[in-house]
Amino acid sequence: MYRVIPDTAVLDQIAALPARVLPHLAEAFGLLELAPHSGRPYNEDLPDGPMRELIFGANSEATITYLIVEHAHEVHVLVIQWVG
Amino acid sequence: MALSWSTAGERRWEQMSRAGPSWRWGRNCQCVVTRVEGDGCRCCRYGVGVTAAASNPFHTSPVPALPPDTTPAAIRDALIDEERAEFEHAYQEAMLEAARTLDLTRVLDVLRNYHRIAWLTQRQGPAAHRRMLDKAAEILRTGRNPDAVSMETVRALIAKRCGQ
Repeated sequence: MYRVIPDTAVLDQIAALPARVLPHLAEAFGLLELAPHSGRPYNEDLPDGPMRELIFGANSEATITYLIVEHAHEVHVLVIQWVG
Repeated sequence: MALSWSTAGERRWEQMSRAGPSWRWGRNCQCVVTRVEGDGCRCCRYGVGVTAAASNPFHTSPVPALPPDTTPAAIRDALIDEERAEFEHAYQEAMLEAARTLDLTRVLDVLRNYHRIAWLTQRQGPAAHRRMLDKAAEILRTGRNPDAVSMETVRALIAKRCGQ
């Protein structure tokens, strides 16, 4: 189990998301707590790098960019972006 | 129509804007060709960049052209700082490999990977992207994010927006 720690910038980004993706966002946070490595590497050239991305939404319309601090079992949520 | 990128990408969009609705791509290149220029742009007419497709009896070459925002120059221009340097290094290595093996797979993988990062960079804005990278570096260095909020705050915001 990982501790998910959002950055304050995420609050405005969530406020800007369409309401229909918010249930998917809540599910995505749940996934980050359990299996943060299920996201893709932020940079495919650095597959073992600590930054990763999780795509969510019914039609993959948004992404969470986050940082895994493995030794502390923490997931720092850096950015949530609407890409739809 | 697309993101407004700087330098090469931006110049191309400016060309398209000037050309108006009648523009199209050059036949054997990625130049923006206006109706006034007739059959082709200068590089097509004078043979610059012309490949075997020029002598192909079929009008359209099956070899795909890169969309303007996925060219190596456009990607480089959309990236910032260390990510731009990482892209240039990865691209140069991939090109060297491709020259040796005649296999473009690695080159295309590099373009796909960094095009996604470039797109995200422009989507949130270079300054915000810079802050994100700085924040990640700070967390790795110090072990904490001074601007963190609790998950309870985030869950409350989600519940409020969902009307719960």
